Amino acid sequence: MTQEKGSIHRIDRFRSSLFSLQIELPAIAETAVPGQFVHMKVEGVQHAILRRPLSIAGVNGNIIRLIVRIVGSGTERLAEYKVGQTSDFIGPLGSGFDIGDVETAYLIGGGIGDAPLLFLQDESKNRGIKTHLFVGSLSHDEFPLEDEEVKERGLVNCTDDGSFGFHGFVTAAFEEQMKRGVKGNTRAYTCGPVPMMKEAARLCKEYGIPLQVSLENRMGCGVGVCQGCATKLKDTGERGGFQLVCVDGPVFNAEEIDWSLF
Amino acid sequence: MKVDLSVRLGSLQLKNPVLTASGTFGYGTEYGELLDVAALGGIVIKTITPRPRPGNPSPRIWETSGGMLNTIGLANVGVDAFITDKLPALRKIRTAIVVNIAGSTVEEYWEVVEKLDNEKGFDAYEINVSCPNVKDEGMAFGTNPKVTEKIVRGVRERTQRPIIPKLTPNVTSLSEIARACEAAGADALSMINTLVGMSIDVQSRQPRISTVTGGYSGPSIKPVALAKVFEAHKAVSIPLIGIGGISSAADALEFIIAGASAVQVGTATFIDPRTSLYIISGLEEYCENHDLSRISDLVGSIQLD
Ligand SMILES: Cc1cc2nc3c(=O)[nH]c(=O)nc-3n(C[C@H](O)[C@H](O)[C@H](O)COP(=O)(O)OP(=O)(O)OC[C@H]3O[C@@H](n4cnc5c(N)ncnc54)[C@H](O)[C@@H]3O)c2cc1C
Ligand SMILES: Cc1cc2nc3c(=O)[nH]c(=O)nc-3n(C[C@H](O)[C@H](O)[C@H](O)COP(=O)(O)O)c2cc1C
Ligand code: FES
Repeated sequence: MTQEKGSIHRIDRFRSSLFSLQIELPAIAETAVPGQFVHMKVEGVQHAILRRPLSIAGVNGNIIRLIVRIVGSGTERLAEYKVGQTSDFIGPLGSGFDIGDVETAYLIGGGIGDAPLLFLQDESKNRGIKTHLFVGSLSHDEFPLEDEEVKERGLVNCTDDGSFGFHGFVTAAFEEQMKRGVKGNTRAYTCGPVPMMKEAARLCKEYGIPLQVSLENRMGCGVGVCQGCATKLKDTGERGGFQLVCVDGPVFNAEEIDWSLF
Repeated sequence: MKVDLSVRLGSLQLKNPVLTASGTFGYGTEYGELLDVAALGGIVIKTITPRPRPGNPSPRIWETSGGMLNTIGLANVGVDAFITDKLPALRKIRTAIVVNIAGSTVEEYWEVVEKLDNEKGFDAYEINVSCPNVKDEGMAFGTNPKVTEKIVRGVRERTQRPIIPKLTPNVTSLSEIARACEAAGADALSMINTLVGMSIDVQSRQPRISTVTGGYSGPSIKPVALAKVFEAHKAVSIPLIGIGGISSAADALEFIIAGASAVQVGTATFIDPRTSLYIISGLEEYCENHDLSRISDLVGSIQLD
């Protein structure tokens, strides 16, 4: 974990409310692994004080990539950042995905939840793992990746309204894949809205694939100090089942989670 | 000119007047990779209770205009695990360590002290009287001068270490509570703990945090905190530690001039973990620029006509 000033190397707006950022962050880039996030200070947001947690969507040399959806004042301000502008970052934070030594990995992302999965796909491919990436959104205009990259990555793009790729939920596309048969040593990973992750967990259980889940919660410190991000995974154990998304997660094994508590 | 930043709070000697506030610096080591914690004037540990507490349901925090609401629910490992798992690392940190304690009953406060007091590795107690008293319909202990005095007196009887009650601002007369603590043998007073606050999501009409109301902290509470410190400075003669919204050296100076001998930095650490260090160097610079050889000369130096 380090704190460093990062300079914006590139910023690309796409669709109506999405953008990707490339930021020069040498110390963070050096140790980052898929599943981790940065805690970013967004300067110039009136009255806002806390940092914003954002997943690392890729690393290229000194450069960290983020993919962001505009949802409020902080992300709105961030979208206006200019090349060369600097900001303060703490990272890399949290536990990463456990990639392991498998033949095939299934990555299931809903909306902006695709961000950590892109980095995971890159790293899995580097390790010679065959990846199937499924990403879903409401419509083409909400799709969290530009069309060219969708092609390059060979991912299965799904939209609820059928305006871009597979017509239906991302979990339905994943299920079709499952029905075609699952061979060898596999793992699955998911990040996105809770109902989607729940369904992914149900399918993975049915098909006997170990699943890792990346969770979100509001954050104060991002480093395990404030206990603000505590999320109840199961109603057991010393801490009453509470785990800190920022340091114990954001990645958890699906077996650790009791979905009825969400 | 070499500025003397050291301050005394009763028998507690600090190398500089800037501590980190309870609940915002964990068990002292979490931020170790990001800053030199030994450079701090002191560290106040998260509230420790007799038994572990899992804390309140999520959502526990919400950002407000210039501040935040929290309902952590005093989640902590409990005094036994604190002694075995956390204290050993604290012994290695070369700065003052203040353990913040609380209980659900008066006796529970004393129980923590009884278990802790023979241990090495910390220098003082801060007594968090802002938590709910289960025997008094959940009213905070610190709203009742008699109960507060009883807690403090009981702690006083059980330790030689300096004791510092930490007061809640959610009272009618802070002066009365402050005087009760002084009478019971407190060495210093910390103030303030969080204000009571709330926020509602107008779309769902649901409260933003799980317990509806919670603790309000951050830069926007500073004027309230400052007024409380000023009030207490007139009411008691023991030293005060100012807390509430401090995020710069200028903020810290306001508290010192109003009567605080030291300050604590809370929420601002989340914004920038190095805030306390910037404040320390800012205080030194101020003293140099104002020909002050000792920061302690500034305490309570407010100019009123
Ligand atoms: C581990 C983690 C990784 C994330 N990765 C990404 C990512 O790669 N891309 C992306 O676009 N978003 C990501 N998010 C969500 C992102 O943090 C929020 O969208 C962002 O903080 C919203 O800030 P705002 O000021 O625009 O919104 P506002 O609603 O104005 O924010 C108000 C407060 O709520 C918090 N908040 C709002 N939404 C969320 C949320 N979904 N999760 C946590 N805190 C929230 C903000 O941080 C802020 O403190 C991630 C969240 C977490 C916890
Ligand atoms: C997340 C959080 C947790 C806190 N936990 C405690 C605690 O356990 N015990 C305590 O005495 N005060 C606790 N506080 C209160 C702070 O120590 C401090 O009194 C208060 O936040 C005001 O200072 P600030 O505005 O600088 O944060 C907590 C504050 C926050 C924001
Ligand atoms: S955000 Fe503070 S403990 Fe996780």
